[in-house]
Amino acid sequence: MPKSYYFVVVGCGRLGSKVAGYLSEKGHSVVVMDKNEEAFERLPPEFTGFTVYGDATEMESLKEAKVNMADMVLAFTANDNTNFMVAQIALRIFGVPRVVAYVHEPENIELFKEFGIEVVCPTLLTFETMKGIFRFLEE
Amino acid sequence: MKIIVVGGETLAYHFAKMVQTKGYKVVVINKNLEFCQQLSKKLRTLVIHGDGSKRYVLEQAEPLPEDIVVTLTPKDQDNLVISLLARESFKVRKVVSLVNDPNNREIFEAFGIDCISPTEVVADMATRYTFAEQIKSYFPISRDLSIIEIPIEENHPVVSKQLKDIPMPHDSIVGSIVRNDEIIIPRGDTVVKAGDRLIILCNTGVQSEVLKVITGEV
Repeated sequence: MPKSYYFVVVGCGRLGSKVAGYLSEKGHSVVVMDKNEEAFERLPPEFTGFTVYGDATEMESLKEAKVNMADMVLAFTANDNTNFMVAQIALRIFGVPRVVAYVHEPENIELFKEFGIEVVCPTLLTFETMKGIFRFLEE
Repeated sequence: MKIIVVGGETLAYHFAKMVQTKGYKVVVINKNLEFCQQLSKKLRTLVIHGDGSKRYVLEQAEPLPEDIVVTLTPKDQDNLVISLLARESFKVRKVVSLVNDPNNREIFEAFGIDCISPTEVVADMATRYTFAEQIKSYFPISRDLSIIEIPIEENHPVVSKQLKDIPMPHDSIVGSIVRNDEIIIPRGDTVVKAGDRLIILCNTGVQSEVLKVITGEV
């Protein structure tokens, strides 16, 4: 049986809730955090982890989510700067080995990478898909 | 050398005005268009309208390594990104940031950014004024540790007591007694007299307890 990991997902939005459900279904321990309690309603039925209601830019909330124990933190809020700070606190203060952040503004990717954060950029991913659709132009 | 002020409103205006009168060149970056328009009239300086945490906005201020960047936004995450952009992308050596939540100081300091924490400054000033009557001087060493000096009066419960019989709270110690301009390094059997000045090293959290034990008042 593969190893079970501990994930902290910050931001229970469309992506956060989906990823949390997926990881939970795969048998990993997952804690999801959001500053809006209603956001947890998005979690799919396969999610069996815990939720922490709090602002991830406050150190106390991150402690409550036991970020120091996490194998990976996913900073998935709607705000790039919040994701950056959460990621840096996770890496630098809590010593989390891997941190992935959602980066909305492609301009920011370089900065995130420079500071050791793995990046998911919806704009670029959509663009790649679009390029696939545009392939007919070359036919 | 110029000073680039990012974010903040009242604070940004007064700060910019102050450094301008001292003869420095100031550039202000702000998200609020109306504020920018007012400011450019009042200060007659370059005001850039935009989100300073975006590289292409910060770039318009043309930051140079010898410049100073001051971030004053109400969100610590924005301040952190602006500070690090200034440092990493533009190689600005001196970056000063407002830290709204004192608990976030740690992360700013981890990157060597100078912090201003109004919460801590105000709390510190308030402490000084609150205890002003009983404490003669007060030196905060760090957020958790302070040295306080308490002058002993006739009516204080510790007068004529040996130090070992004074129930000092945990995390506090009488480090020295000043008596007639002489410094005594006290031992357990040293007797406290009226007119002494007790120099106490203590955890900030037990400061009021220390005062209560020494002076009998809260």
